[in-house]
Amino acid sequence: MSAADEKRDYRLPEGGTWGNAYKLAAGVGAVGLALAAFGYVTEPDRFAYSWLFAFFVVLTIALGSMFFVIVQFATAGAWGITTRRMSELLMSGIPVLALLFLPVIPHIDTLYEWTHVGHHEEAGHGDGHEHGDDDGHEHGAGPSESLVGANVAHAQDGHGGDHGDLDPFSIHVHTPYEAANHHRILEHKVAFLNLPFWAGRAIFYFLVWILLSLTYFRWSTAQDESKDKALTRKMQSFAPASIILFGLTLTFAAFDWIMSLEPTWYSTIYGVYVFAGSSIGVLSLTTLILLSLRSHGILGDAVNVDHFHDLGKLLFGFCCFWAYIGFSQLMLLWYAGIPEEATYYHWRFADGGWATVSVLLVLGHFIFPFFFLISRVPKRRLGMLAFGCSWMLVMHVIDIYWFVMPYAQETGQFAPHWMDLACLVGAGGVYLTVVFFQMKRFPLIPLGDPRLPRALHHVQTQ
Amino acid sequence: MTSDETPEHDDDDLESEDDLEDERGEDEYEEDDDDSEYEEDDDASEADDDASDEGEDASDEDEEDEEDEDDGEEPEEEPEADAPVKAASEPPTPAAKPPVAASPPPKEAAPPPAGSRPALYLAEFDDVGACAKAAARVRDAGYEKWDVHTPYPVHGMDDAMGLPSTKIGIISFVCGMTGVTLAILMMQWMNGVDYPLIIGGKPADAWISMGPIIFELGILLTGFGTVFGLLHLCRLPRHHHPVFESERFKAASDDRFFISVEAADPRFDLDKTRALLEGASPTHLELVEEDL
Repeated sequence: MSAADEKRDYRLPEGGTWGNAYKLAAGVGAVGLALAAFGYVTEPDRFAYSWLFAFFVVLTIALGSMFFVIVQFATAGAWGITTRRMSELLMSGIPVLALLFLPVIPHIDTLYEWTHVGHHEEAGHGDGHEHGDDDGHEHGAGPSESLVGANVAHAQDGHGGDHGDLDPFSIHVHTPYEAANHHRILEHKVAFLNLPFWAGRAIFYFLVWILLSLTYFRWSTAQDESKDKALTRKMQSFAPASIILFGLTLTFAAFDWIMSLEPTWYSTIYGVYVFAGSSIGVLSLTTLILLSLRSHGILGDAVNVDHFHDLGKLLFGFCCFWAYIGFSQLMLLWYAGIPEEATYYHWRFADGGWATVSVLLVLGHFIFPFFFLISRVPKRRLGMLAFGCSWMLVMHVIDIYWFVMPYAQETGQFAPHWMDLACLVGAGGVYLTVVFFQMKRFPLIPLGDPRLPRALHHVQTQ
Repeated sequence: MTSDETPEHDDDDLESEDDLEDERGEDEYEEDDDDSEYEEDDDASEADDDASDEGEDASDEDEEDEEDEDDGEEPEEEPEADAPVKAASEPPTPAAKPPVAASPPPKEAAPPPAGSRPALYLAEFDDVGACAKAAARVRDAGYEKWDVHTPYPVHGMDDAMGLPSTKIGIISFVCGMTGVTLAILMMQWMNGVDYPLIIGGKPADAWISMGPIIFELGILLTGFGTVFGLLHLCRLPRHHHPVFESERFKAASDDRFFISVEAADPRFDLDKTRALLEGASPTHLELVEEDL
């Protein structure tokens, strides 16, 4: 450390690129929001998917940052202390996500087919008593005409009435038998996928996330002034339980909000897949912000090449982890070939254009970054690292796009829409405005952390 | 911290011993009171002791207590503990400390007896900072066949020694890619061409079902490449090295830091090399000989 670094207070200077970054984010975000609002009025159905996609991109990054903060306390590692505050700042934007989630709520009828199942049941029981005392589980014994009929009737009431006699959500349902089977599966899931429980879970997730993120953020920033070691002990002792909570809430949020877009499909590894992607997102974004701060001379040598090397290693590691999880999911579903499971990949490898995106993900989300990031060189040449992180961030966004958007077109076509970008810019802008504004209020490294000197002097062994 | 800062800046750049010590597990050293010299505050690297002690305090309360006691005692104890004992047949106990004074070390003036030849100079340091600085001197003098022996990995020593980046990564990578290629060729040939079997209605040469094998064979050969490549780079297995002729060298796995400069080095010279090493103020310097 040079003498200049010792005197540094690690705060954003007034003005300058980073001092005004929140204004830029707010301006760009406002434009995005305005466009999204326009789309909300003109094409509400498309807006629902576009916004869910944008929301989930921001959510994965925010939650990933929370994981990155907590895991540093769980491991009590010293190397990443100077990079931790940036993740904490990203984490401090989590409460905003509760607001960003609100536009999804009016559209749950559009997004989630399972919201209609309950209605059908009421209608079915109202129709008459041909089912007798059967509960939903018994319907599968033989797909009855009445079920199919009710399903079709419902479809005509709903959004897809002009698409013939099949449920608009079930683009892969071609025969009455399939329709009945499809419906039977949904009825099996009513105990979990019903509106009150779903809403209660969503509230629970946000409560957990807001509580964890704000608590950790408050403790860590309080330590800047007090230098109180007890705070570090406290954060460490809560870290393991917090990680468990994080893992469960992230997994079930992914189930609830993304996986249930195709409610007959399921994959138990899905939460892990989302977690891998969110780690990639947050590592890329954190590294990019730190690189920019460094190139503006704001951080001095607090985050040095060795720190960036470590961040790059983590990024590479999670890149492989993502591929491992993604492949595990693909291979099991492909091998089993059970119809209701195979649909997920069927639509993503069918002729509708999504096959191109799927191949792009394999090549761009794993193969290319694997060979690009594996060597020591690009992790230590900061320009190359910046490129790698930007690349991975874009790939992460495409990955989420690939989660959500195949359901936006009833025909399963790949059809990008301007509103996707508008929503992403809008939601991302709102979130980053808060994060960048927080950056002005707090030091950019945790000055009170007792291990800070070791992090400042972090050196790699070769 | 960049490489050029590492060994030269006495006051604050090098991590303190307390810090470095984290890497080798405290407990084994804490059992024995005599071993408490590990916590000593050395001139060359004391600057961060306070700060890093705090760090350890927060991370481990047990550690904190023990260390605090130790820290209080050491500086006084240390000068008294230095009766130089040249243990001939038993490993040097911690009590057998060498002279701490940086004055010219005892000369090994006796000419080499017949039937043996100089193998290497072995300079001993009881402080990692001094050892790193001495390593930088040897590096700058242009020696090639020399090494540093420390009880634990020392951050920054790579730079102090001027070591180039290891080649193990390249070896592992090449082996791994060989494994991947072999797996693909093998399965495409066996399943796709030579003896196609339709299993579960899947194409015989489907890529997805080959994924695990590609992965496993890639990992297997990467592991082989890493282990055997490392053995090769370390010139192992090797039955004997003259550095083990020195009784003092046993402390290299305990609490001392050594630099050995081998006689096989083209720049090796009995007098000049000795002068170079003496200039770095080792606590002990000896000429190790090996039998012919």
